[in-house]
Amino acid sequence: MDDKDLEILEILEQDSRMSDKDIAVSMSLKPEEVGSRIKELKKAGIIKKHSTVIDWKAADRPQVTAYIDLKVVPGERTGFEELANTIASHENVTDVCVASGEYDLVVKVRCNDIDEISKFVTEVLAPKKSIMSTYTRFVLKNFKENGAIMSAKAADDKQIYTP
Amino acid sequence: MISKKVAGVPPSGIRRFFDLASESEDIISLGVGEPDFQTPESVKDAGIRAIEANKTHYSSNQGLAELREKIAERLEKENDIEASKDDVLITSGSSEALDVSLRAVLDPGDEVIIFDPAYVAYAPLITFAGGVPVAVPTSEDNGFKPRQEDIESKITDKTKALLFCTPNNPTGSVMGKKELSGLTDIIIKNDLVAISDEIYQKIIYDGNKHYSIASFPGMAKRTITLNGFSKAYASTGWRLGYAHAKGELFEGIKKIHQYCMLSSPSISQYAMLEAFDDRTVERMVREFDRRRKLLVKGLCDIEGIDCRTPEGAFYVFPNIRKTGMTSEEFAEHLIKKADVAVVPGNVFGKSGEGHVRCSYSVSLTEIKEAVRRISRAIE
Repeated sequence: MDDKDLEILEILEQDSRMSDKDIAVSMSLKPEEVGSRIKELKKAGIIKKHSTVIDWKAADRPQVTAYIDLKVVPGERTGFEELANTIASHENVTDVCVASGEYDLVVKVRCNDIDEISKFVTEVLAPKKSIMSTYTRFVLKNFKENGAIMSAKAADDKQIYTP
Repeated sequence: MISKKVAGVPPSGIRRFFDLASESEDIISLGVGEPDFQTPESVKDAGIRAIEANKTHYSSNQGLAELREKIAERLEKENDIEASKDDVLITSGSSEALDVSLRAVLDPGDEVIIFDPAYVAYAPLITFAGGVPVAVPTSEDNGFKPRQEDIESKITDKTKALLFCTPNNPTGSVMGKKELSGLTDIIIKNDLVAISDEIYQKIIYDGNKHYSIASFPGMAKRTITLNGFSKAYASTGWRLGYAHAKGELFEGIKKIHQYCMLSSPSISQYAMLEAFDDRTVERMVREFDRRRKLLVKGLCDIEGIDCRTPEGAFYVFPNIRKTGMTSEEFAEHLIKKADVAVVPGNVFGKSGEGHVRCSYSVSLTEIKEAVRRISRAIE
């Protein structure tokens, strides 16, 4: 990892669809060099995944998102890891992390409707022995997700001025 | 009812294009002259704290001593200008600094030399101050730098001052040591004043270095250096700039400022005490640099457009003559057919004809898209 790798990461974090060629132009490098650097960054597990932020509500496919806080009895040797990995493997789970504070794990799930989420909580999470309690918070309105402004009208109150 | 002097100055040519641009919803604007970054958090916090602490009254006419001290330190360190807080004047944007400078040095009919194309406010402000703007043409072949013989040919016994901007708006060109030294000879030989607009000082690429003409031998007492916080610290709305000069020049600009402005916004002055962290600027310039390269390459790849790589500021000034259109026709065509707004080069003066100004105050993604749209609308 050097400064050029960092710069590539900075660019891709803003727009993962930037082509090797465009990145190369903007950094005065050869496209092949950018390509091989990105390959290395992926191999090293630094670049995890390229994804797209979608406003499903605007696409007329509204989804329900919830944050579920969990109190957990840590495993004797594995701590929170084993449970966190099990939960992470569930396809509706978008984020899992260990957090400080009153709760131990924070899980973000996205489903088609409230029923699916409640099923997930009552049938997948609640029966697990190591989970002592759950605290579910439904998302009512999303303003920003993964760096993208989600409200239909982005705040653009730029005034017109001259010269 | 208004004076002939004021009536004779046309409204800004940029405005018409902004109005045209605002009619379309999905426009990518390469027209604006301000960074798309936000004012650093530390600066905003300091502004809020100043309001809460009731630091909302006039400051001293000349500006907060602590702020002037910081600016003087900077001028010494970065601009090689011998400076103290006593010869720094805090103004309401560098625009005010420019206005008071012109009013301080000009008598009616005095001529001021500017390099064409020039920032759109130069000629009108010279006229309002009672002077006469005299344009020295520059061309792309020379990197938009004036040739000494062209300047000399415009000097008359009425010539009072030279006003120029480096890094330059609209061309992005940067004057090196050699060019400035050439200017110095002319200025001293003809007993002129230099008004040096250095607002884009921090936005400079490829290891180029910014030089201040006030740091050249014999220039300190005949130079007014203008700068501000707007561009480097993405703070155009705080309206804070400054002027540096020595002796009677300084007393002159201070006198006008104290009668017309009293003092500059105190809240902004307290806020800008926190502005001197250059890591933010460096990040911004790195991002600008990437956009510059992508935009230059993208434009050069379009048939009919040639684009030189500018050394500073956040503008490119491509040549569009081969499209067969005038600057205005081209800019209008882009708004209507490409949903991209640029500023026609002729609003910056005769030498700007055949060019347009594109600012890269938009993301790399938008630059890519803008280039794609322009390419489709031209070819």
